[in-house]
Amino acid sequence: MPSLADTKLDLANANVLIVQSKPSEQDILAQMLMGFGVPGIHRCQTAEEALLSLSREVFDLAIVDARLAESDGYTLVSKLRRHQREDLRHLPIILVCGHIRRNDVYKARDCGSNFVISKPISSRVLFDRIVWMARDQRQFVVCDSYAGPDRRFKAFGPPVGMKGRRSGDLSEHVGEAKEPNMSQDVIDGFFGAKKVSV
Amino acid sequence: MSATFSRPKNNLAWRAGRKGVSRTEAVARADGKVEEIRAESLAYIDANLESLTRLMAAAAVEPPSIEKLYDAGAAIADTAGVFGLAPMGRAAHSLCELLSQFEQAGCWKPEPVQLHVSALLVLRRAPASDSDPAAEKLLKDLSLMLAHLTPRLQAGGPL
Repeated sequence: MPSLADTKLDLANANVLIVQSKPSEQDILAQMLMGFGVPGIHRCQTAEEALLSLSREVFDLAIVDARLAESDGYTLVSKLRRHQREDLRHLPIILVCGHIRRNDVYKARDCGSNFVISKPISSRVLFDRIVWMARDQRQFVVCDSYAGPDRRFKAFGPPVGMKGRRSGDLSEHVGEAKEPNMSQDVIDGFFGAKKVSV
Repeated sequence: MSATFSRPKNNLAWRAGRKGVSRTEAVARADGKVEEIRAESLAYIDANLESLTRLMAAAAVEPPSIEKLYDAGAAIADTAGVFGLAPMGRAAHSLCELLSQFEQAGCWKPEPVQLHVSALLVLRRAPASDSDPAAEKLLKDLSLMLAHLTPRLQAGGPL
C-alpha cells in the first residue's frame, strides 16, 4: 500500500455534502474540495436541509459543522447513524469543530462521526483525513449509547499505511530477526496433537 | 447492555490508491482555490471584528449578548488561520473560551473581553506570523489571563 504522501485520491464523480451554516465557511470547504477534483459539491445550511438532500441524493462523503443555525451537527450525525437507510447509517462523515464549549466535548466524541477535524481547516489535513477514511477498516458499533465507527483507535493503531502519532504505535516495518530461526521440529511441536493427562 | 458489530462496505475505499490526484498536487490546487476567495474571506473576518467592537461599545451601557459575542469570535477563530492570520485565530479562540466560561458561570466582566478585542484589532492591523515574538507574547498574556480567571469562574467566586 502506498504511503500517505504517495497516495492518490480519485474524487472524480464524487458527490460531497457540506453542512455549514455560514456561507463564508462553506466557500472555504467548497474551494478545497474543488481543488481535490470533486465535481459534485452540495451545500446545506441547516440539518433539516441536509436530511432532505440526503433523502434525494446519494453522497460519498458528508462534511458537517458542529455548530449549525437551528440545530447542531452532533444531533444530525447521531440521527444519521440510527437512520433506517443503511447507506446513511454508514455514510462517511467528517465533523468539523471550531471552539468546543465544555458541555459539547462529549457530544463531539459520542455522535458517531468517522473523524473530527478542528478549525481552521487546512487543505492538507482535509486531504489526509479523506484518505484515512478511505483506508479505515474499523467496525461499526451499535449499542444503546453509541452508534458509529469503533472509537477504540488505540487498540487497533492507525490505519494500514499510515504512521501513527503516538509513541507507542507499532511500526508496520517488522525489522530484522533478533534471534535464530526456530527449527522445524519446534514449530511442528506447536501444532502437533499431544496427550494431556486430565 | 448489548452491542452489535458490523463491517460495512467502505464506499470511499476504491478512491484512495494509485489513481487520481496526488497529495502534493491536490493540496497545491486546493490552496490555490482558497486563495481565490481571500478578499471576501478577509472582509468576513473584518465584519466580525467590527461586530465585536460594536457589541463591546454597547456593553458600556448594558451587558451584551454573550451568544452574539461568541458567534463573532468563533467566526474569526474558524477562518483567520486559513488566510495566514493564525495568531489572530488563536486570540479569537481564547476569547471564545473566556465567553464560554462566562456563560457557564452565569457572569459577565467586560475588561478581559475588551482586552481580547483590542488584541484582535492589533493582530489584524499588523498581521503577524505564528513565530512572531510580539504576537507570541500577546497570546501568552491572554492565555495567562484566562488561566488566572478560570479557577475563579469555576468556583463561582469574585473575579
